[in-house]
Amino acid sequence: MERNMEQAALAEQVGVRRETIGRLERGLYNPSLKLAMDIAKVFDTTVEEIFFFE
Amino acid sequence: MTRFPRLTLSQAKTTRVICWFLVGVAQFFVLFIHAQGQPMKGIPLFIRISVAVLLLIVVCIVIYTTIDKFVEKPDERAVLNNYRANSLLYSLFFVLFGLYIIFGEKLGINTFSINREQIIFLFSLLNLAQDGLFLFYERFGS
Repeated sequence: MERNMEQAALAEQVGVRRETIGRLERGLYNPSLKLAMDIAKVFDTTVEEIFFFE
Repeated sequence: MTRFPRLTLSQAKTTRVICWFLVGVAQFFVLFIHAQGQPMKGIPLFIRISVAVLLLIVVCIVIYTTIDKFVEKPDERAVLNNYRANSLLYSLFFVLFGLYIIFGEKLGINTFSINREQIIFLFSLLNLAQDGLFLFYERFGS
């Protein structure tokens, strides 16, 4: 939401389903390292900026 | 551009669950409810034709949802949920076989045989369980 990108658009860019992005946003799924890095690459930032342990 | 809709993975699996449920119900009726060996006896013609058409549609839907071209490509989470569903099913069969080995003789079941109609019923149950478990892990597997 901060980057003004829809779930479906992000999902298509990183090669996963929209539901997977939704689960990631709600913290209900832990992505693989590759997926985390792909998402970080899309937003031109680091993995640590997007994903963190609570 | 394809003429047929491209289903999401969840839609395809849900459709398959319904289809396998219908096949299972039909086979259950043949095996346990109606006359053994004469499943069509006494059933009106229009019902027989309707059931046959319904099962034909079910087969077509199952084939449609199996072809990669018409269904969303599985991602890493779908692959993981598929592994979990298959793993649970394997564990279930493992336990069932173990129970049969331990208690089968005591219950007087020395020979365990399955005929073709029962195989069809079990096949539909297996697919129903596999797709149903996948959907369960999709919804609740966090």
